[in-house]
Amino acid sequence: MKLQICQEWLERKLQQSDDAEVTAGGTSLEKFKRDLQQRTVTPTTLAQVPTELGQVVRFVREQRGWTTSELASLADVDEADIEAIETQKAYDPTPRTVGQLADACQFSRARFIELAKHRVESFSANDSIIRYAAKSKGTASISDDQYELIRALVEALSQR
Amino acid sequence: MRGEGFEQDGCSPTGTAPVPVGECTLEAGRETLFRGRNSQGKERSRGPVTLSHTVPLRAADGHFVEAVLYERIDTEYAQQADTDWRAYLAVEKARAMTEGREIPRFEHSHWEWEAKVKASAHLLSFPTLAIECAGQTQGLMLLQTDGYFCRLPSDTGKPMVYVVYLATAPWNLRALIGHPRYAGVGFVFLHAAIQMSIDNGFKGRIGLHSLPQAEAFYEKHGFLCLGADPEKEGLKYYELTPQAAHEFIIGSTS
Repeated sequence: MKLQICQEWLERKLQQSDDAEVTAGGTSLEKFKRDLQQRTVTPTTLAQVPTELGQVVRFVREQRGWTTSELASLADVDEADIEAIETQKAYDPTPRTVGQLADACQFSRARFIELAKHRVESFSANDSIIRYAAKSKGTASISDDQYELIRALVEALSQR
Repeated sequence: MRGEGFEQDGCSPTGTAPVPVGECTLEAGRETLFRGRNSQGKERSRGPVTLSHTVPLRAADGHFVEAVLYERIDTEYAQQADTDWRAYLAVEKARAMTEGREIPRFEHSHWEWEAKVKASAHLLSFPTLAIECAGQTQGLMLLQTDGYFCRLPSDTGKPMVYVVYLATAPWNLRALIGHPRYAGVGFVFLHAAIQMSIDNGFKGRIGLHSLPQAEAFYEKHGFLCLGADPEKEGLKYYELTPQAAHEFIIGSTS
């Protein structure tokens, strides 16, 4: 975080008003914990997704706490598209959908489009990621190593 | 602070250098879900970790002092703050009793920061920030930097930073002792929340649910009220637009 606060600023603010009672809250500890539990990206969650494209989308969605409809409105695409990407093996999203999703997830458009087209050979210099991405089609559970590779794939996509 | 394990302008939150904080040790390389590892499983070396900032506060005698704002604290640190704040409140309550005074009830003094931090410390999008001065925690703030969206008609659906919890130390409350030890904790925290929003590309948009005693403050400083929220114990929900956020922090860099 690039935080710079000078004394003069605070002095001016405190002249405007006192801040002794500033508080915010309203979420019970139980609700807070429940919300957080839904945010963990588990290997089991990812294993339910049949394609590498879907796993990447699902990973980012879980990580950021977006529902499919939230991501849909953020990317301005149909919710059905996102559901299809995450659940159907042979679903072929339109180039517009792929581009919009890349923007919403803050991915490199070019790399994400390549991933969507399965043109993985030019995707990244990291062979192991590609090999995994190419063979990972719907197993019952994914290992820690595979999980780490999907995470690395998301990271690679995020380097614009 | 966007995303887990992504490199960002030299202040990666997943570095490995421990940052001493008083008697506590902040493990900068905390066990997050996504420790930075390359495909060979080795720890990737990261740049220097900048997790703290010098910020001003105003002491009770009117002088300004230097305090430290930590971008992320761990469970141990939160536990210490809980202990200190509770101990202070207990003493003040006892004193009020012997003097026959009424002491206001402070709901947020029972907020169990340790439990909150413990539940969220592994998620990079839920940092708990602390302001420390004179060896003690002057305030704590838990932010959500992902997955929260504006409700204001002008910015509906746009991502923002949500202030999940914000509290100042009990000795900084006017209602409790008349002369708060330090003023400025609220302003500095809100500035930090706005900065976090800007750094994430959210243009300064922040939102929060205000406790009743703080409503006037937020309204005076440009927050727009979207009414009482039945999902948050009926507390009023406020948002700051990018314009209002800009006005809030304007002139803060000398």
